[in-house]
Amino acid sequence: MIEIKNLSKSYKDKKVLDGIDLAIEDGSILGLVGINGAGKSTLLRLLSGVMQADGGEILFDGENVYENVAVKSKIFFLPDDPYYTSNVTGEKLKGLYKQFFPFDDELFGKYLETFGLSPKKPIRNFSKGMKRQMFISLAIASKPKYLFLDEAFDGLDPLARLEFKRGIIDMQQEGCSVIIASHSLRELEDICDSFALLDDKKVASYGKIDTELEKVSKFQVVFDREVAKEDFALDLIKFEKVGRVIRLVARGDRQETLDKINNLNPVIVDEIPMDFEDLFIAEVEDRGYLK
Amino acid sequence: MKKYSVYQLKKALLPFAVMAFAGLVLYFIPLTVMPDGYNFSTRVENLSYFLMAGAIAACMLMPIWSFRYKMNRRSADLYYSLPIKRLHLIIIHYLSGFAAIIAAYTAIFWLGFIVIAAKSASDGLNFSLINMLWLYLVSVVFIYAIYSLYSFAYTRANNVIDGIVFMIFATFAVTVIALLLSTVIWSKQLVEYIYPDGEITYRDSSVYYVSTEYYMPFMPLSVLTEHFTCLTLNESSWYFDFSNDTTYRAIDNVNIIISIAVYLLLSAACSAGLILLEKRNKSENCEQNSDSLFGYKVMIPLYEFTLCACIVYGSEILILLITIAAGYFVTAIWKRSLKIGWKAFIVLDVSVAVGILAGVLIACLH
Repeated sequence: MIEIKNLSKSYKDKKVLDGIDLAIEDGSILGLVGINGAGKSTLLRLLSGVMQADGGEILFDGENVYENVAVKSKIFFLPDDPYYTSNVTGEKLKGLYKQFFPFDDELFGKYLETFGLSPKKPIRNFSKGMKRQMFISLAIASKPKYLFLDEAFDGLDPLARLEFKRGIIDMQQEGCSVIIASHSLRELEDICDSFALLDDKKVASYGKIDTELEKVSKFQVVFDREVAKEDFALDLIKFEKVGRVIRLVARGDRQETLDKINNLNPVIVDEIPMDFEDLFIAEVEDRGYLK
Repeated sequence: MKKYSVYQLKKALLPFAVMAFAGLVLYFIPLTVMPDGYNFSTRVENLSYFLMAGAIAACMLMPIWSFRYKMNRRSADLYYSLPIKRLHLIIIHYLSGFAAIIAAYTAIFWLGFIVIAAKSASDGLNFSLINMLWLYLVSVVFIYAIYSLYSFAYTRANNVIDGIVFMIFATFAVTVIALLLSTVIWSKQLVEYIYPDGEITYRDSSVYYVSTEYYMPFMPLSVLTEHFTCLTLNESSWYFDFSNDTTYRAIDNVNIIISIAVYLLLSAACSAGLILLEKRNKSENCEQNSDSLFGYKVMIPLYEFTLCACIVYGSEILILLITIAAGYFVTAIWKRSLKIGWKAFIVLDVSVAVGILAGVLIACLH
């Protein structure tokens, strides 16, 4: 289990994280979301032991991660822009990771074959997506207990994304815990069982994706008269009005929300399915972003 | 740690191969095609000086290769996320870099001598193996001293450019202090001059007790290379010989001994500092401006103070103005902006002012 307690981190005078509290169960896949600059990459670097926190602690099964070789030997961190030298090949990178992890050569070969990559060609000649595929292959083949991925889907074509998601799920079934920071919310929704939304240096929202989606509902409502936001006795996250057509997202029980809308005698009420991206956009707009 | 040490040593084969190849191209090939006018002694001397120059160059370049993982955010993400303590990481990279230098140096040293001996066999080989062994051992110690100094200086920086600037600072830091001391510690006295025909005269001369040239980091290696090369060839060396000495020879010998002691102590301090200060290193400082006390913060005021004092003493106004301008220029490099900030401006001005005052005081003293 990963426990994050009252974590804080600053870069010189700028506070990036302030009082992060989070618990991640073993075998879960957590989607880490937030607007640009929310602190997702910083949190992943702290979890990986790349940086030391200014306050609080990060515990892996009760042990602190920073400078702890035993804990870090179970962690694989794949940043958004992985490092490689000009002449390095997949084979050479494999050689580095084999020093530290129980590297599965067969699994590595299988993923390279799936992605159509050569382990002997210099990575500098690969496209962005191919480089990402190579590093994903290395990450999965390293068989870590904890896998942290920053912008993992960036540059991957739809087929590669599918293979990657399958690989993550296979790892989860083997007991691996995964944290993925990404803006590709639709992809996260496919594989993540839980999410954490970072906002204003804290965890603004956290829980199971399915459970959170059940707590909100989205409707398109048409009236035969002008109505105002104040007419709706709802906990509104989002309210859009174009003439007499209203689009709203509200927190609370779905049936109760529908009943309250019907009390206003609309002409038409349509429920629109909500996905994780809709939820994220609604949440960040409610917090004052993207206006 | 063991596995990674072996891995890193294997990676060090590349710089070793580059250095060995450079030795092959720059020394062995010319040696084999050179006409046979050179005798054994000349060839041994050429080998010694070639090796010394090559080792110094390697000591300046190797830290840039060994510690590149610290200077780039992406590489820091990789290496600091690996399950290895940062202290072990820096020690392994430090020692593997030194191992590459010494492996190439050793190969060229002994192979070079064997080739020279084979080529010069007909001349008769007059050399002392014991002194040759001393030459090798002493040179290894001082190659380490230079390498440790440059490694420490480079790793105080957060990026490659600052690292190179810090190495340049390290090259002349002791020298500029010696230069200032030389303007203070001197006197006029009757000095004995011995002409080639044996005639002796006495002249009233300025005797500078601090010989600045011996305080560059590679001077101990240079002096000891020359000294032990002479002894290897069964020739006499005036270094460390205080018998029948002239005033200037005696001063030079004292300065050489002090310089050797200074750089041995500095080497020990740099080696310890590299290890002890690694804990304070923050990975988030990668690629940021370098604010280490062993870099711009102290070196710019030090250089400005000492150089201004020396220049004012020597009454070279144009050079003084250039020195002051250089201080602002280097500060602008540090801040990556022509707007250096009021703090840096004040520090710069105070060090120049105090340097000028010191120069005037020194001139008045004499």
